[in-house]
Formats: sequence, structure tokens, C-alpha cells
Amino acid sequence: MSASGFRTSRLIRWLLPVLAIIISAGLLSGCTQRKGEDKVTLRFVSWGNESEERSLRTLIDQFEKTHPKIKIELQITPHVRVFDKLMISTAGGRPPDVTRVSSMWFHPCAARGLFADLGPFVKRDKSFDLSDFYPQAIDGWGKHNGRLYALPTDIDIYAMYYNKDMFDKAGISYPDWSWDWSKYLEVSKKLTKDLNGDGRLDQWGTATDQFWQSYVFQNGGQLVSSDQKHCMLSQPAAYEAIQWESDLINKYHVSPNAEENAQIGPDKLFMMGKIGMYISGSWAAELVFKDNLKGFTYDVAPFPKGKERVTFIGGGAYAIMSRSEHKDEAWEFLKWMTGPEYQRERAVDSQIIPSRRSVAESGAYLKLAKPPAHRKVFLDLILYGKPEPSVSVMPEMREILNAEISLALLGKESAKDACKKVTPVVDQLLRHQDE
Amino acid sequence: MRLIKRKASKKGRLARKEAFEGYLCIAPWLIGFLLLTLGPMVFSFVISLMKWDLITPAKFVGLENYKTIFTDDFRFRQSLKVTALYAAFSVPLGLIGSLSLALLLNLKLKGMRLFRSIFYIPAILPGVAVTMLWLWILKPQGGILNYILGLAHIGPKPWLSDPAWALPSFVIMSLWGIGGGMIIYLAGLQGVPTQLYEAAEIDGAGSWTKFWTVTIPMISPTIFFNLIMGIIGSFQVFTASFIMTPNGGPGYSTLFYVLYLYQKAFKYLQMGYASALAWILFAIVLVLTLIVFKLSGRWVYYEAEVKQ
Amino acid sequence: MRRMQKKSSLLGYALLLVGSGIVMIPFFWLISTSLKDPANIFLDPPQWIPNPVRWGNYAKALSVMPFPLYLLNTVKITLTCLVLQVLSSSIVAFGFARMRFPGKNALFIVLLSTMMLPAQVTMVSVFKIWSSLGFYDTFVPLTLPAAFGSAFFIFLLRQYFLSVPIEMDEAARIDGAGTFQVWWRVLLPQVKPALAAVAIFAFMTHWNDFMGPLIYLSDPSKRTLALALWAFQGQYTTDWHLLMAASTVVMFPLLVLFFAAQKYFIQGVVISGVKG
Repeated sequence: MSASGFRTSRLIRWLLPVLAIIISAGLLSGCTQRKGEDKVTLRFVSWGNESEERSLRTLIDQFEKTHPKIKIELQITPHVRVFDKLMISTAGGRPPDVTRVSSMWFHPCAARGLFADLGPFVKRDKSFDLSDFYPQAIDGWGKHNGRLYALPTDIDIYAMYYNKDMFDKAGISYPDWSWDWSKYLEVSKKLTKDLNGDGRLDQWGTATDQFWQSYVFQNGGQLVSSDQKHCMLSQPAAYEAIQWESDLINKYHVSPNAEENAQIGPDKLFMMGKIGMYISGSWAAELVFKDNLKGFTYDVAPFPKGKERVTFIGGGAYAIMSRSEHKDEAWEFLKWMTGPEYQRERAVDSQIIPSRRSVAESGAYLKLAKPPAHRKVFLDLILYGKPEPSVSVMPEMREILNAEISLALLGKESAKDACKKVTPVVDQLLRHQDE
Repeated sequence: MRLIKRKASKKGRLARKEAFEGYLCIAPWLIGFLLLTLGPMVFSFVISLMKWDLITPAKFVGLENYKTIFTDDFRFRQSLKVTALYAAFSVPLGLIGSLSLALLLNLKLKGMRLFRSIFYIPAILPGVAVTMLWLWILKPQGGILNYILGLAHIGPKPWLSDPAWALPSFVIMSLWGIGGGMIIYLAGLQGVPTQLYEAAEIDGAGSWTKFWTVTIPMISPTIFFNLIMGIIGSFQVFTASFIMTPNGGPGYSTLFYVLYLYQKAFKYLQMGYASALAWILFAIVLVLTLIVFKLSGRWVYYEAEVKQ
Repeated sequence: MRRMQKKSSLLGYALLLVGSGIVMIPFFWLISTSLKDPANIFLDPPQWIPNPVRWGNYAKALSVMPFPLYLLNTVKITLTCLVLQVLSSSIVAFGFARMRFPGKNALFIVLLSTMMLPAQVTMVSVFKIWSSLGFYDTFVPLTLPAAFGSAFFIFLLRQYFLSVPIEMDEAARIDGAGTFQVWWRVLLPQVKPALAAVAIFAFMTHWNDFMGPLIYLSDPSKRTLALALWAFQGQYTTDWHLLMAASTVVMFPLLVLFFAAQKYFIQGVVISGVKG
């Protein structure tokens, strides 16, 4: 008995310090606070794939060299996660200093006061020229309630990519600015074929836009009323547009249906040469098609117009968090990140549309020697760009809408039913948004 | 007389000392219970009476959050439905599956240890990694499940992208982990005294009768335990749903209760609303547990306590 | 009779083989995908044996996510929790098993009922408490709660302590041992297998924990493996070969632990499940 007791006590002699070290390691690490350094560290949140991360790091290195008192701690976070992260970390009391924001969640964050007002900085800083930025970008995801909270860096705009070879083979002229919905449907029908005669379609005229709001906008519809108090999807202009998209898939079969999509995915089908016209964002040229699209040439045309010519527009921006203790340093960094040099670089290597007109309209973007040849279409479409509504509950609203509208697009229910069903849910959400 | 008194007071002192040390022993748990369970429960009830994003000042709204949840919240009803449906399928199927597996492994054949390990492994692996794997298995393009079904001439299913198939995907995935329950049943089966089987055989019972009259009653406490844990567990499904369908799936067909609670709390920062949802979760789990306990008297067979 | 037994054992084997086959297919598919060339991932019919074998996928996955750092974070958190959990749960269990004090039974019932309480019920308020104390984005909210023991482990260890003869305590007390010496020197050595089971369970729980790190950790350099794997998926949504390689890597330490300490794993479940 006591022998075993002694053995244990000898064990304790070396066990205790080890345990103490383990426990302190688990409790204390992560609490590290560097003190006595005269360097300011800015925590900077961004998303980005490998190549984006690489160019971000290069840019940060250059910044740190020219600004020796500022250190940037880059926190790469997946795009889908940045909104949650900004929200949680602010609630948790330790938000970052600077963040890249997407138009998808700019307004909700700004409405909650997460971002610092940039107005005073712009006013004070004579070296900064805000008028160089596209107003659509500034108004779309830079300003909230008239105040500037973020500086846009890039623009994503939706357009129609098309397979030139397929058009040539069918003897159909390429899509252009004159196209409307009916012309689009007519050509789509012509291009939809069962090539090997097995009774199943294997070539489709088109693949619809994953972003169904585009159709609503084009049909003169709205998501929410202009006072942002009511959901407008129960209006015919809205649900008829969604029904039209659903019909393209489920009635005319000119676009792959869910099951066919589930097999391969519309982006892959387009790259395999099985889709004539594919509606997607301007980023797709580089991020999706670059190494994967083989065997045919493609180009880009505007989205066929409905009752109106509207194209969905969105993009990225940079903002300073309102709780940052180093706002002046953060402004320096913001200017650096939204400067023309970086935008030029991103335009050249990733075909990202710059938010600065001076860069976008220069040869850097327009004269790139890679497809699509009619890249200028994107810039011309900016004029018709319409962003998502600036509702503060947008992420939640988008989620509610997508959950229901996706059923309509699957053909499980009519667009009218889906819209009627979802309208009161969104209305309820909008009622509570200011509280 | 004095002697007795002194003895008594000594006894009292000892008892007091023991009580003090006893409280000291359980102090870690007691403190934790007060600070991290009871306190937060009260706190979360207080929060549930407010509108609060933890950033701007809180606003007291009384029972409004509860009122909204019960009268005007489509997603709350949907998440209850999803969770209940999931429980209704995954709990009984898991129970039958793991019990059958345990019966097979209880055959006392060679190589059983290896089989036991194989079946148990899925239950110990990290939820994130397992979910990632199933996301890939369920992928309609390139995933293996549709291919295997294809071999059996069953057409490809869109799984997670179709409201009719999304929830079944979760049930299928949960069945992969029945090894956890299997181990518990196996232990229960091995604890059934062999004399009981022998006695039953003397009475001329076949294997089927033995199973229903000996095995099931003897392991009924284990079944009961697993049933409760299964029900509570299905009300806590989070990791899989959060990774596979972070927005609740098509038509909210996989909006599990805790996923909805998480979204409200940490995505949309409606902490008051989320706390109300949390209290409702607490009430639901409490009621379910009580019901199962109440019903258990009818079929759970307890041996007379031998100890003490 | 014997023939029947043989027949039923053959049937048993057949069923078990089919069953374990079904259970193993996902693992096989995991490893297979993790070694495939990206071009061979979406083939129809699928390629079961990767050809060519791309070991580089693992190198790539590990280089994309700073694996050693995440491993270190996970190990730090897990070991801290494990040590705290074993120490605190065992002393509390000892208190409930051996000491007499008013309200013991009532408190024990409270303890048991907390086992049924889903952690999500207090998630929001606990988050607020930790962040008010300035512990958001640190390991403290993930590790410190372990110092308060866990109802399940306390219950499990108490069962074990009860099976140790009380005479052992009495003998030690006559030798002059105090309460804590009895706990540390007499009882703990007697329940080593149970401590091992608790340690393994604690290891598994905290190694696999996802919601905790998801809520409390913001800085990418503090990520645990589970969280890192999820972030990896957000980044490389369609690179299944890399995702499967990363998943394998995250599963690996647990598989090693399982095969090294299978006995204790199973023992732990057995005690908890049957007595429950």
C-alpha cells in the first residue's frame, strides 16, 4: 500500500512540472500581447486563392518596406466566412483593423457600425482622389446612408460567355447588344441538341444565371420596396421573371436541369463545350476558365435585355474597422491597397476589373492578349449595373430567399407560389431589421 | 454525561471537517456548475428578454422574442420539423443497426476483435473530417454513392441539392457511425448471464424466443440509455449540417435546430432571439427526456440492485 | 446441432464481411481520392486504384495549411484539457464516492441531470462572459472549462471508486493519511484503467471539437486542426484530392491512438454505456 504510495509520489515529482507546463501552454498561448514595440501591427482580413494571396503578400511586403513603423498581419479567411468572422470578432471584442469586404455584406456591416467613416480621411488627405473610382462601385458598396465606409477595389459584373465554335457550326450569328429574352430563347432552342441520339440531351443552348435576381431586375421587378420595408417578390414583374428562368430549365429544357447539373455542374459543362451561352461573372474568365477550357474559343456578350437592360454588379472593397485603435495607419494601408499600381497588376494577371476608371480604361485591362476578346463589354455594362439592395439584413434575407426560390428553379413549385410563400417571411425580417 | 457530550462534539467536529473536505473535493465541479452552467442559464434567460447584438446597447423587449418564435417564425417551425424527422429516422434505424451488429459480433467467432475495430472506427473520427469525406461521397458528380447505386441500377440522386434527398443524406451518414452504439450493446450482451439462456433452453425456447424473452429485457437499460442519448444527440446535430449545408439546404430541408440557433447567434448577431431559441431547446430536451423516462417503466427491466 | 452452428457462423461471417465492406468503402475512397491526379477525380466509372499515384497531394495539402502550427495548437488545447479533466473529474468523483456531506445526493442528481443539458443552451451567454473577460480569440474558453470537470467523467470515475473496497481508505487513514492523500495515493492508483479511459475520451472530445474553436478563435494562426480543415474546404472547395489528403491527415492521429489504446477506448464505452 504505502509502497505504491511512494511510487506515486516519486512520479509526482516529475509529473507536476510537466503538467504545469502543459496547462500553462494551453491557457496562456494565444494571450500573447507584444508590448514595448514601437511598431503598429494591423490585423488585416482578406479572402483569396493562392495566387491572390501571393500578390497580396508581395504588396504587403512593399508596403512594410516603405512604412517601416507598420506591420501587417494578413489573415486569409475563406470568402464565405469573412462576414461571420467580422460579426463574431466584433461581438467578441477583438475585431481586425482592416478588412476586405464584399458587396454581399458591405451594407449589413456598415449598418451595424462595424466600419469607420472614411469621409474625414478623404477630406484631410489631399493626395487621394475619390473621383477616379466608378460611381457605381462607390454607391454600390462604398457608401452607406450617404457616408463613405469602404474603398472599392474591383468590380464583378455579370455577362454572357458564349462558345464561338458552337455558333459557327450552327451558322448563327454571335450574340450582341440587340439581343433580348425572346431572341435568346430562340437561339437557345436551336443550340439544344441530343447529339448522339440516345434520347438524352447532351448539348444545351444555355445555362441560366445562378444569380436569379438578375432576371427580376431585368423584368422591372424589385426584391424590396424603395423604403426597404416590404418584399416585392409577390409582384408579377418579380415572380414572372423567376418563372421565366425556371421555364428555361424545366419547360424549354434549354438549360441543364438540377439533375444534369448535379452530374457535372454548369461551369464544367460549358468548359467541356456542351453549353452555348453561359451566364457568369467577369471573374470566371481567369479564375474558372483559364486552365480548364480547352478545344474551342469563347467570347463574351452582354446579358440579353428583358424589359430593361440590367446586369448584376458587385465587387470588393477595403474598410477600416471602427474599433481599430490605429486608424491613421490603417488609412495609409487602405490607400496602398486601393492604389492604381495594384489594380493594374490584378487586371493584368487575373483580369479583375479595376474600380478606378483610369486603370480600367487603360490598356492594362482592355488590351490583354487573352480571351475573351470583347472584354470591353464588361466595362460598358457597368453603366447598367445594379447591385443587391442595401438592406441591413441582406445576408439573412438572401438565405431565406435562396432556400425557397431554389425550389422554384428546381421545378418543385411555381415561382408564384414560392414568392407568395417567402414574401411574408421576408416582410417579418424587414420589420425587425431596425431593432 | 460530559464524556458523551465531548464525544458528540468531537464527532460533530469530525463530521464538519469531513463535510468541509467533501465540499472542497467537489468544489471544482460546483464552481464550474455555478459559473458555467447555472449562471449562464439564468443569464441566457435574461438575454432572451432582450434584443442585443453584443455590440450596441441591449434593449429590453420582454417576451417578444418568444412570441415571435411561436407565432411568426417559419424557420423555427421548419427547424423543429427537420430535427424531429431526422430523429425519427436516424434514432430507430441506428438503434436497430447497432443492435443487430452487436448481436452478430456476439457470436463468439474468430476475428471478432478485428470486425469490432472496423465498425467502431467511424465513431471516433473527427466530425469535420468525416463530414468532408461524406460531402465527397455524396457529390453527385464524381461521388461514389451514386456510382454504387448505379451498379444496382438505381439512378443517380442529387442528394444534398434536392430537398427530398438532403435529409436522407444525413441519415445515411449517421448510420455509418453506428459502431459507437454497437460497442455499448456488445458490452450489454456480454453482461447477460449465460444461465438465463440455459434456463430458457431447458424450457424449450428457440433462438427467437430467447432473444425476445432474455436478451431484450436484459439489455433494455442499455437500449434506454442509447435512446435518450440518441434523441438528445439528434437535437444537437451541428457540425455535419454546418459544413454540408451551411444555409440550411434547399427549401431549408436540412435546417437543423442548432444550425438555426447558431446562425441567429453568431452570424446575424441576434443574441436575444438565439437565447430564446436556446431556452426552448432546453425545454424540448427536458420534456423529451421526461417522456422517455416515464415510458421506460413499462419496458425497461432493472435487476434488483445487488450492491450494498 | 453442430451443423446448424456452423451454418449460422458462416452466415455471421458473411454478414460481417459485407457490413465491414460497406463501412470500409468510404475509407478506401478517402485514401484513393487523396492520391489521385486531379484529372482522374471525376472519371466515370470512377478509378478505384489511383494511377498515377500522387503522393505530392499530401505535400501540397500540408504546405497550404501550416500543419505543424495547427497540430501544435490542437495538441496544446487537447493535452491541457486532458490533464485538467482527469485531475478535476477524479477529485470530484472521489468527493461523491467517499465523502459524507449534507446535500450530497441532491448535488449528485444535479450533476447527472447536467449530462442531459445540451451545451448549446448556454452558448450565447458563455460567449458573452468569456469575451467580456477579454478571452475571445484565446485558448482559455476552450481549455479552462476542463478544470471544472465534466459530469460524464465524474459519473464514470465515481462508479470505479465505489468498486474499490473502503477498507483501503480506512487503512490509509489509520496510517495518518489525509483526505487528499487518500485520493491521490490510494484511490487513483486503483483506478488507472478508468483514468486512462477518461483521458482517452477527453482527448477525443477536445481533438474533435469543432463548435468551440469555430466560435472562439478568429486569428488563423490559432486554428486547431478541425477548424483548419474546415477553412481549407472554404478555400479549395472543389480540389477533392487535396481535401481528402487533408482529411486523412487530420484523422490520422486518432487512428494511431485508437489502435494503440483500443482496450481503454472500449472499456470506457462499456462502463459508461452499461451502467448508464
